[in-house]
Amino acid sequence: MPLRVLVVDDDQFARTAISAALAGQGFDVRSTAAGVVETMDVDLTGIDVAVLDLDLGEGPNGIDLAHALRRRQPNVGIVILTSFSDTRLLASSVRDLPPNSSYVVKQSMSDIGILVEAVKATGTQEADPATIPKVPLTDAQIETLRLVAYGLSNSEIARVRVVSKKSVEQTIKRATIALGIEVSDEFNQRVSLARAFFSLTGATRHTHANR
Amino acid sequence: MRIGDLEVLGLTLRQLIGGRWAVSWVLYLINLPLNFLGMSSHIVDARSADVLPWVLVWAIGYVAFGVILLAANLTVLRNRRTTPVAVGVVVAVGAIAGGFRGLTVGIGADVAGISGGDLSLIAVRVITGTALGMVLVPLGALFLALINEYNRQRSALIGELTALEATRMRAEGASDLLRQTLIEQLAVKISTDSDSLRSASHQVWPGDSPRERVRWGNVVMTSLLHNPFPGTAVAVVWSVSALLTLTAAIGPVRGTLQVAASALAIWWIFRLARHLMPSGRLTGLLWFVVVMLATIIVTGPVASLIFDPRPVGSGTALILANAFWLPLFTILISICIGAVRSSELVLQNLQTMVRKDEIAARAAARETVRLKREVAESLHSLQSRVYAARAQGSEQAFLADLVSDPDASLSPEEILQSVIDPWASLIEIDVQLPSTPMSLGEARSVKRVIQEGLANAYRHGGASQSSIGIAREATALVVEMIDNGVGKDPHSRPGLGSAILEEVSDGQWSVHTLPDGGCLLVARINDQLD
Repeated sequence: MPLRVLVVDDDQFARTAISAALAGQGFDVRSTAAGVVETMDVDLTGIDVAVLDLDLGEGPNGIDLAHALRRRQPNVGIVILTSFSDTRLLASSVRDLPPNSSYVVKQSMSDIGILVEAVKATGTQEADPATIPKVPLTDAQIETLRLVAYGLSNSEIARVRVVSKKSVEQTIKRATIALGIEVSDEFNQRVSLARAFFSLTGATRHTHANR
Repeated sequence: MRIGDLEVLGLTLRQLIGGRWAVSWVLYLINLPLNFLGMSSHIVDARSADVLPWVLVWAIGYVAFGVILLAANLTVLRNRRTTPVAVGVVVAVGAIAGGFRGLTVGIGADVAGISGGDLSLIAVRVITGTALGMVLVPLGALFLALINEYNRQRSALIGELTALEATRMRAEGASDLLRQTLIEQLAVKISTDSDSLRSASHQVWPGDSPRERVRWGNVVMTSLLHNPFPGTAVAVVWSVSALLTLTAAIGPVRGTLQVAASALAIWWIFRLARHLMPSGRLTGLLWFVVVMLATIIVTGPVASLIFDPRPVGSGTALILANAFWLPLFTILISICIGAVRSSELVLQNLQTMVRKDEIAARAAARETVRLKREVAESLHSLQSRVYAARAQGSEQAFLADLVSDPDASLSPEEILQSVIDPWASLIEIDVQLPSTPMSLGEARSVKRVIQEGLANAYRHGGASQSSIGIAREATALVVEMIDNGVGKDPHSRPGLGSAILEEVSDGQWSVHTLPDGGCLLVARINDQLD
């Protein structure tokens, strides 16, 4: 019997495209939902795997939803399908994924096979939590980068994070090295950092680093 | 009650006859063949040398008729689109136009020397022209207005039914299938390539929605089936038009006799025809054709044999004229009478003519257009975001996202609802709103506090319940959130969440662990902006 799948994505186009792709791979796409409210109305008894977008707009995110679904249906497999290379990029307070979950980054999904494998693995309780990626940045570096990308100055960042300005400068320097961004006169360092940040969230593919 | 106040199809006669269709160019165009037929008997009877002068006189008469209509359009009827004129005005315009045509033709024929020198004929032409004009012009306006109104009501009905069907399609998931098919046809991979997104967006963008076609045939058919063969009215109008031709050709006595006999024949044939009217659409149409042919033969060749002293064959013009006038009068009068007497029946019939499969096809077309737009817009917005991020640097794109405020069109209550609703699916929430309404600025600030509080309660506190109280104090709104989780996270470090609370409360916020383990968040919001 094909695995029965629920697809949750707040973008209608993505939702339909993913559903069509999965159906084309022989899965039984039982339901689709645009957000948390709709998802919690779905009858989970017939669902083997839930494919969730990480960023569902305002309110709970895909991981919050995953925990809620697991509480209602302990065996349901969870696949987070997202453009974020690391869950920490979404927000500062993101929980860990529940066990038996897969995390698929859209940009690294060279073909549909990767999503198919992830759905199969969670559907048969064999997901390997080690596949959940982490970018080579510390929590503090990610938070600082987020504020840089928001357009805050170093002293504003220092105020928000309640650290010294010198500490912010240090963190930015380490993040720059960790991301492999070359400091040159050609590109403004803050813009490069912001672009790198958005590149990791999937907002753009084109960064200084891969030009 | 004045005649102009009579209501037909929900409109007064004044609006119908004195409105935009009074003396429209369509009406003038309809008059072209009428005018020609009025003249045709002279052309048939005329010596070959007189044919060209008759055609010229006819053309001048037609222009004269038009000149009066144009003059009326520029003066008394100028504002009829916005303010309908009285029915009497339209009747007067018709009378003057018809009379002027008769005068022009009469004098023209005399000047050209083709009238046989009988000056009394001019008077006859003026009188019959006036009579015909005052009947035909208002009747024509009424006819056009009614057809237009029937079609409008039918279109409105089709629009309603189509919208209903489209809603059903969406509710039953047919729209989702349609959308899926669209996307499959597009064969777009989910990619962040700006160019392929843009071309896909352009490819799927639909043309205009299908437009409602005007169905004159349906109105004519329905009116004919429901009010077939209005004998009296047709006989009267036909008599007026035939009197001129016949008295001029065979003298006043014989002419009047022939017209009277023919009118009686029309009345009687129509009465019989109505009695024997079949109910089917096709059979009804066939019956109409048969009855018309019979009437034309009786009023044409048969009547001519009895009353016309001229050799057989000289009545050809009359047959031609009748073949045109009789069906036209019958249809016209039938529609007008139908609208006055049983417009609801006619409308009902028009409604039953709206076929189910037609509605389904329309709804599908409408849904396709809507879905194509939706997909194209989705692709386009994705494309422009990708493009903006690439071309202007990510900060700009990010700012653009900040500028487009998703709460712009919401009320204060709706703004709060937009953050509470999604969380309420995961944990139990009760909300106490303040006694006086919140401003938009306050609602936005409260929303950010609630979002942070609920995210913390669910993610770190593992709470299953949250109670939110929003109360107004002297100069501020106080938001208190209590949950049943594990309490304040001792390892939490200041971050964006706390920065948001800091900003909206201007530093007046605090988090405490309650004695029984829950968490209490208090924030004071001092909104000076609006």
